[in-house]
Amino acid sequence: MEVVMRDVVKRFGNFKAVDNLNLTIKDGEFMALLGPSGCGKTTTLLILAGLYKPDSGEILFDDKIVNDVLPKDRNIGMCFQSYALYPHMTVEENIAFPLKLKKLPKKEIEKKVNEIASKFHIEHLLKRFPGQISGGQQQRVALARALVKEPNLLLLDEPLSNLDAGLRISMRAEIRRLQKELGITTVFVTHDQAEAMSMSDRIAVMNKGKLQDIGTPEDLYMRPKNKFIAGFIGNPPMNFLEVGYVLNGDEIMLKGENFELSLPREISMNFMKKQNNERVILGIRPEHLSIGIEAPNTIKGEIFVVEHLGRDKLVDVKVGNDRIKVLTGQNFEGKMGDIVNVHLDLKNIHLFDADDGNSMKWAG
Amino acid sequence: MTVREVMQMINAKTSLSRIAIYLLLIILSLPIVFGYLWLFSGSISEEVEFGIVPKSITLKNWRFLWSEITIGTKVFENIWPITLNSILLAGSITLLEVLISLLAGYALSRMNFPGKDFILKTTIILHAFPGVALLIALYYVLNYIGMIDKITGVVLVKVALELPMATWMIKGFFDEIPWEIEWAAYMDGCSRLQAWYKVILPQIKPGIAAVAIFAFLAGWSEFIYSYTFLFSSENYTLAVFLKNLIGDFRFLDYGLLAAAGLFYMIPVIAFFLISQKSLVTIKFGGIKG
Ligand SMILES: Nc1ncnc2c1ncn2[C@@H]1O[C@H](COP(=O)(O)OP(=O)(O)OP(=O)(O)O)[C@@H](O)[C@H]1O
Ligand SMILES: [Mg+2]
Repeated sequence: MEVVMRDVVKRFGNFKAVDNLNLTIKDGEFMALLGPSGCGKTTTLLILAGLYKPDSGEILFDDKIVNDVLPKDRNIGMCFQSYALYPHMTVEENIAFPLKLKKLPKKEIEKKVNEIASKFHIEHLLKRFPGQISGGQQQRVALARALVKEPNLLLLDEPLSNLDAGLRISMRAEIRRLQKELGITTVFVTHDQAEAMSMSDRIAVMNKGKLQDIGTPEDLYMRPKNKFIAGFIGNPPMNFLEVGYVLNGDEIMLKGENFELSLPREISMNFMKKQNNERVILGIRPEHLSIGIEAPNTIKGEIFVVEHLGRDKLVDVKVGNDRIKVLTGQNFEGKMGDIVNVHLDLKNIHLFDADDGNSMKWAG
Repeated sequence: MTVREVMQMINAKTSLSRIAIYLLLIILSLPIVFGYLWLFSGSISEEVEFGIVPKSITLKNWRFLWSEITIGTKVFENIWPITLNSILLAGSITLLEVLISLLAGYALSRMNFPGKDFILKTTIILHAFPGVALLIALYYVLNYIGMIDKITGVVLVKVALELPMATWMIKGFFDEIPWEIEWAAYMDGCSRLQAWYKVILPQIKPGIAAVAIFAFLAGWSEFIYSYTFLFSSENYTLAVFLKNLIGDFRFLDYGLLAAAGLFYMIPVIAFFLISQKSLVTIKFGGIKG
């Protein structure tokens, strides 16, 4: 089922929780809704579910406006952030509940419940009540309940947040496989960008109720449309340095507090031009920085701290009042206090407008 | 002094103050205990010594259960139809009150509609209103709609007066249920009514039980309206019967009164014995832990 949100606005009092949202989720697509806490993810989900009425705008399921269709008639499977299991029913009854309401024969209900329970590794919990199982187990029961009726649309509100690392990875795969198998259009809310990157076909990034951008994980990572997305996607996050912008013929000079970078023509032509002496923000990911010998077009700084990440080391370098993170190999030997030269992979730099945060890269 | 001795002293001190507290509580509750003991002893004996010690045990005082009784020249009605009336009265009050307060409490807890605040505030005032002050007005109303001298009439009056409190209580229980659970029910395919009775009501069972018990007991002990609005003896309730037993205090059979009083209390005692376990788990407006 294709889902379209058109100019959707939701207010709580004067506060716009969802601000003019336009979103198309293709049939069978797995879409992640990613954003920091309080940005309106859950609200968006509840609007899709029909539990909140949008103040304006339209929701379309397969080209039909469903604004006035009751939640029960939308055939949506939903997994709430708080699980929302029925405390007076056993796990088995919880999962069977949507099927019972559909008046399926008893035998079939039993079969389906057992099937899904074994998929989510909760067979042994069927006779217990929700109060008698752990948070992670409750989460899986909630998932099973949402999926058992094979809905047209699956809405998942941070369904993995309470699982331990191992279980989370295996559940990611399980959800993903089931979703593809059944071809259910899915909206998956998370504030964990790694989860969004690893599971989704596309990611919609939200901030303060507004859609920031939407694209494949790779798109958002490689070509972030603004500074918010650039900082939110990728781990460790992108470094930002505020610099002065000097246009020198076709070359761009970026002037920092105690460094100067000149971008050659083939790089500078990727960016929109600015007025001389305007402030811009230079963005570069830790993996595109390295530490090397003294040379032009490098940034000199002092090592502030070295973090061990297992496979790599993350070197925190102090540059004037700013700090930048550099990803280095395990064999990097620098210590706190060392003065180092940070080399930039200029092909991978980003420039953002200092005022509105938009990327200065030419689109396309 | 060793640490141990100090500890012992402290222990002795606390147990001493504990004894004092118990003594005080016992003394405070003596009048009530005394009253009930008198009632019990009086009901099974010809005479009572020292206020509470029964002398010459007899079942004579309970004769109202199997035979007609007369005091002075007055012949009293058989107790059983009267008991049935009381059960009918209390039962109908309970049923109506629970049903209406469940619906009204849900609406007040879950829905937004104009005038909701006003209703919430006025219900409290209504409850604070002394029922006796309404007696005459209610008489007129009941008379006008042909409900005077009918148990149904008393039921309606009592339910109307008790409903605000019951609704408030139930509303509190509904308030405790997270929206997500109700929403989950809608997503699973419930209509509003289905969500109400399949998902929400089972979770406030203790609340429903509490309201039902209070409603039943209030109905059972209802006196003033029954006494004022019911005059045919076939409509009497136990409270009225008891009042008639006392009569004008001229021919008072204390033994009989004690037995009848005890009989009247049986459901109250039974209710508390059965429900005391579930009652202590209830805070007002919610379910503990
Ligand atoms: N019923 C409500 N009344 C008033 N404000 C609300 C209500 N529900 C949500 N909000 C506000 O709307 C904003 C968005 O809330 P929402 O629950 O959608 O955030 P979220 O993105 O899901 O956050 P999280 O990741 O913490 O779950 C928040 O600022 C929140 O305070
Ligand atoms: Mg949320």
